[in-house]
Amino acid sequence: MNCSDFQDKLALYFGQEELPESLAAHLRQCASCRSLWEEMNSLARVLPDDAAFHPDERSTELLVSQVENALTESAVALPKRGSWLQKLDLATRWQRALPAAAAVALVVAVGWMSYLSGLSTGVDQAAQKPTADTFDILLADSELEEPDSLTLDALLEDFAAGQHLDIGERLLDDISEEEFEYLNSSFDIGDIL
Amino acid sequence: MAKDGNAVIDELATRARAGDREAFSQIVRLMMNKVIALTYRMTGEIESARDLTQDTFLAAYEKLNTFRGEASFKGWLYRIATNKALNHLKSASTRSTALEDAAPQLVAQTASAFPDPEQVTAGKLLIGDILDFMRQLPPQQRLVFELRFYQHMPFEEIARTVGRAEGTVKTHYRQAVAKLRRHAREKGWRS
Repeated sequence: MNCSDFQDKLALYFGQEELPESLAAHLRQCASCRSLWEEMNSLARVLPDDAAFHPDERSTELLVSQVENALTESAVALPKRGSWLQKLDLATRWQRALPAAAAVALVVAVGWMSYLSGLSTGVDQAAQKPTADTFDILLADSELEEPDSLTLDALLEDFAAGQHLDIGERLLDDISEEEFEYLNSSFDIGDIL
Repeated sequence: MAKDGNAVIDELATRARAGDREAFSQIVRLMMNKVIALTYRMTGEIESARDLTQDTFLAAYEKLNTFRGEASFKGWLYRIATNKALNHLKSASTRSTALEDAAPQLVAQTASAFPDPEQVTAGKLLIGDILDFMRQLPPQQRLVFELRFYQHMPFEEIARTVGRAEGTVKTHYRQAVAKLRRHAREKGWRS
């Protein structure tokens, strides 16, 4: 493994205590990469750890009580898993979510086509951004599927922010890491993402 | 042998799904600080973190029957929390919350009991420094940095949690680390 490959992989282990043997072996032989790893470790050590962001004990208790009260007040009953009632509920949710899913699929298709069109014609893509109202409606509908709508929400978020090019990331999801890296270095996709 | 944290939480989640409300309460107690720290770093705002944390637990309870146990319950909970944090970041307007309406004194108490961003800890940067840095990251990079560096999640699990390909997630982390190193040099951070 050459130093460039090594340093590329090394960043993935930032903040981790142990390296895979293949990387550790390179470190033992290469003073330059060892120095880089030590620099990264020093940086990781000075970052505040998770506990530094915790509230104090009394405050935690208050927050726990608040959640408990909210749970009681909301009177949420845990549905019985697999009950006919739950299945009916899920079926209803799917039916309600279908129009939103169809709308999103349409928006994705139109957005991607406008991206391709923008690439070939140089048209300003910001001018083709869907309206905020459209997304408000879609976002409201998308909450029907929460939390499984994370990807949907992220997609809508990108549209709402006018980042049409981010759609390409979804399509790039299906290619290998090597192919992604090639595209990344060739077209500066990293800055887009 | 003592069970690790994930196994304990998963077992409690199984009991909670079966209708054991006390098991869910234990999850809330065990996970409160982890979730609030996550949302604090994701939003950089104490009040938003507190609200999002409450919303996260309420949503988790409400959707408990949709948790299929394919990944850890902790990962599933983080997915809800990060989903809510991303939605929050997407919106410039702050959501009003039942918490503030119901208990304004609690808001003041909890806000003052969070760590001071300027508080000095020996050998560490100020938490305000890392909050400033994370604010500069695009939301997806911020999310991946949070889950990898602070939650120590494997990339495979992060990919499942955020609904992206593993290669994409790794690229986000590389970019976040590169920005962090650049930021550290510019700020003159020293260990």
